[in-house]
Amino acid sequence: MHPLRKLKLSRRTVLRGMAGGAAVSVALPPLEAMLNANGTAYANGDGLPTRFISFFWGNGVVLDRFEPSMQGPNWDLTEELQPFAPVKDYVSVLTGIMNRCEQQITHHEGMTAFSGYTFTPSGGPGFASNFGGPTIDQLVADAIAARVTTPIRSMQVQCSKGFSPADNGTTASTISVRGNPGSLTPLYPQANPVQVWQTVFGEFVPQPDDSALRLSILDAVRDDANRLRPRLGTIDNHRLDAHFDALTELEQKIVAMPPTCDLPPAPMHTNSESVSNEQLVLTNQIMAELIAYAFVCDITRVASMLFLPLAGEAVLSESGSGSGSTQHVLSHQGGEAYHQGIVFIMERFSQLIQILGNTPELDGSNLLDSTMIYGSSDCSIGWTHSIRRQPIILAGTGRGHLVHPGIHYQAVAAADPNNGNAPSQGNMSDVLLSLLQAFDPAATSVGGGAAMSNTPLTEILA
Amino acid sequence: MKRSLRRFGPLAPTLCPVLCLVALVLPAAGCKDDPEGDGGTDSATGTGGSVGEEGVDETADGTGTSGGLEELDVTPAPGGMRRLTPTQYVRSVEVILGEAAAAAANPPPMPQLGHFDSQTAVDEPLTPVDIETYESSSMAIGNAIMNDPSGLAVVAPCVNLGGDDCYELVARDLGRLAWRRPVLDEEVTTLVAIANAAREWGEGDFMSGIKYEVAAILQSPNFLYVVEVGQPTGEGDVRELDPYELASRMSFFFVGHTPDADLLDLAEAGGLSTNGQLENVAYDLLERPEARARLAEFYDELYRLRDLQTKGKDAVLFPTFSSELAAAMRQETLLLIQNVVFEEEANFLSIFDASYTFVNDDLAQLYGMDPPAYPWQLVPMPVEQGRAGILTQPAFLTVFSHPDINSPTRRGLFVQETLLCNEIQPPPPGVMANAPTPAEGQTLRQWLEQVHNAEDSCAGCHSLMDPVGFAFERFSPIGAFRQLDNGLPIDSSGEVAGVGTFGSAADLATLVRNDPRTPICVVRNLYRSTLGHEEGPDQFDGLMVLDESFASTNFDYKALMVELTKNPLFRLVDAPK
Repeated sequence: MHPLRKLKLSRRTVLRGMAGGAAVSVALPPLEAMLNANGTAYANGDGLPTRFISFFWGNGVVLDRFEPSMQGPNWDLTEELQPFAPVKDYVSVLTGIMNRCEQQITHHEGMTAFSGYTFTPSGGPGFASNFGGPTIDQLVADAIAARVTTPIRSMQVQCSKGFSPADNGTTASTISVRGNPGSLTPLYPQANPVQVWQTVFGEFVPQPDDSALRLSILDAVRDDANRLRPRLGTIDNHRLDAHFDALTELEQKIVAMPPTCDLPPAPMHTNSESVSNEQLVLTNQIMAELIAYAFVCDITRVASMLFLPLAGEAVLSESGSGSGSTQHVLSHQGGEAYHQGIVFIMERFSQLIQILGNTPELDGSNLLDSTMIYGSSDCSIGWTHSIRRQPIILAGTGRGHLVHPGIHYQAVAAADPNNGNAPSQGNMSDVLLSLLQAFDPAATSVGGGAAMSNTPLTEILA
Repeated sequence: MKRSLRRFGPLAPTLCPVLCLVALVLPAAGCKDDPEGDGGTDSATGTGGSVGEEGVDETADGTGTSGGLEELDVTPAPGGMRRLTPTQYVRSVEVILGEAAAAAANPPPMPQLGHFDSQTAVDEPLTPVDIETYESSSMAIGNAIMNDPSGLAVVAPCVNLGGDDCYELVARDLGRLAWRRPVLDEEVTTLVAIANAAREWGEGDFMSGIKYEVAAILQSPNFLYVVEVGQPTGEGDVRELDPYELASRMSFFFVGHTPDADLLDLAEAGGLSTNGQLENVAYDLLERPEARARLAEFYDELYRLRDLQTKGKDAVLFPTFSSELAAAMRQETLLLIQNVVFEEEANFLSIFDASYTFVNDDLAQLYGMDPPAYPWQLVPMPVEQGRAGILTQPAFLTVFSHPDINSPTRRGLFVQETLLCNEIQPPPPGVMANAPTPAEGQTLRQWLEQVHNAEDSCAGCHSLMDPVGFAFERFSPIGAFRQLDNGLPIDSSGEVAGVGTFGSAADLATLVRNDPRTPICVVRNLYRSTLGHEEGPDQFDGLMVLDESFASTNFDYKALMVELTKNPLFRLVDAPK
């Protein structure tokens, strides 16, 4: 055990990190005034909100210590799934499903799990690619925005900053991309909780109301951009389209009514430690609480959490393994420390789920009853780089959309799942379509090319 | 559709021996299992120009020089708009509004996508968080000006007095600086209307109007994007930057910020027309202190020195590693580059085998030297450790290693990709990359040789990277000298196809310095970073001119930068993208 790693965070430290010592209780529910007489819908006629989170961790799992042996609701908590014990009823595990990405450059192909598209080439050194299409969280955000305007469409947060020095392009930089193939706008996560707080809640701090002036400036900005348009080509006009979309969203935020809940205190933790010594327990807890606040306050209904960047180039110094190696290096050694790193990641994922579960809403439900969480990685096992049998974890029911209690669904069994050539069946994008249909019942497909799906995975539905 | 500019004449062939050598070497050095079949060597093996596309049309006699443009057959990078990088934004605010305003500036960060930030600036759209951050930054700057208008008063002295016409003067004079061109009447009207509304909202406070007017100027796409679309030349789609655009491109290139009033005045008066004028302006810009900062910023990015900010090391194995030491490493490498370029005006390639360096106390301790007489003293490199040049400075050795062990692969990959411009392909699909840790009685080198040579599919590429990295095995993950690895003697000799045979890191440094690909790669990286564009065959002739001039000046980097500004690749753009 390295002496420096004995410095574990106490609960008290967590709270101090969150709110400078102030008491932390996760967000207050909306005022009754927001609800109709029966408490079944918002007074403005919109149904009670359904929410979505995508969760990503780089560098896979150890499949023979991850995949449950029993299917259905009585699935067994394997070593790497044990952290989900407190929320097992709200969790489903999907194994043996095929990632149908059409190309491979190690790790990048795994990200098809979030978009249903094969990546596209990206310039630059190293292993570089860009997302080929929009990601599931942004499809959900689009579907929600078509019905209702929230102060912000979606939020993107990040815990570990361990970006791989060898992997480049948008595929290696984010899990949130919106738009259409050919004119995509990647949305990059914020790793500093203080900045996340500013982005999500800062607008609602009472201040002199200069909204009319701010809006008039945005109008002038639009005029300026429109004068530029004829001089520019197609690509730059697409970029100005994205600029316009962002202006519209800023306008919506400026005119939004302040939420009828107490804003969380601004965190003090900035997540600025080096990638050998990150405080991921604390960061994850703060990010999860900020998401919970944002959901209960209905500031947004969509979040993405990039927990550990693609390829896992960070030292998980709180995992208890005592190793000073990055999760990436450990994966190629295949030892116990790699497995302990995965358990640590699953503990953090479970912590996020538990925080949502502990956040009540006015009708007696909790945020897991209204939220669906989709989690996956960039490969099945770090040392094979294989995308066969890539793991998927679902949590929450999304207002009765997903099966409860959760199940283990296995597309195809494998005697030796760790073998990089073990069988897989079906299509991971089927899962994405099943989730999207909760927000857009008319959605008929997700993704493109070989990874496209037009067949939702019905086994996971309630 | 690519079109070349016909009036540019044929290229002098004197560089051919060097380039032919490169063309021979690069394919041999690429990976054998190259699925795309191009090995990333287009730039070195391209036939040059777009003659083949359009048919030979070499009727131009080369006498039609307009504005001093080189006579050359090239198609430049597409025109369009590039966002300001964060440092360009802050420095530009400082130039037009002063230090207090710059201190309040808080632009959004750029995503680091692996290629140059400048390419991200050309390619990527802005996000909602970006736009909102630009808004709040502009408001913070506006507040700073309300508190202290002295910076704005330099551009618009009327702010000291107020007065009815001051909002218009600010719109015209500050707007011209911020937007790098004269402000149109209708734009002035809009800005003045915003200022008047803000004064009214502020219950008659004149400075309230100034705040929102400045915020509007800084949120405009005319400030946030540098627009470079040029004007038609009458030769296909190729366009020539107008004087304002050229002044902007030069200013951002040499000093990293928007052109100041003097440079805009000069451009407006036609003072950027001939090669002689450009050369004078370029050398003037290189005299400014920001030019040194700009050069440092470029190499900070290219050599990934900025990664040192978040780079962590195992605290038990390397207890002396700290953020202060990491910052010192970064500064050491940048000081050497600045010294070679600005103080010594020496052969730029000497950065690769320099026999001296700059240290503070922490670095001296890391090197095992006596403390310097004063911080950042120039000292001899400890040659007895096999050290020479930037590849044996702690910064490179630290960035390209793991927290707890060296990474000969990543060190070798950097040399191949960034210094020699030799692309290495990713691992093939289905590779089983599970290997135990080095056993007792095994060095890291022996382990990697065992693991990576076990299969041809690995050895093909790793044989180009790992052995290069073995040259640096005498240096730990924080760049400290060591005699043993895992208790065993270290072998830092090796042989790499296309690179040569070496016995030490210093030998390898000499090989890199003398490799004909090295100066060409310096030019390619400078081009890519400056234009935000990956070169292709259409740019080949223009780049060859730069290669030749770089060689002819004994690799004088400042002269190379000046030559680039005179090159049609810098002064022309293709149709807007």
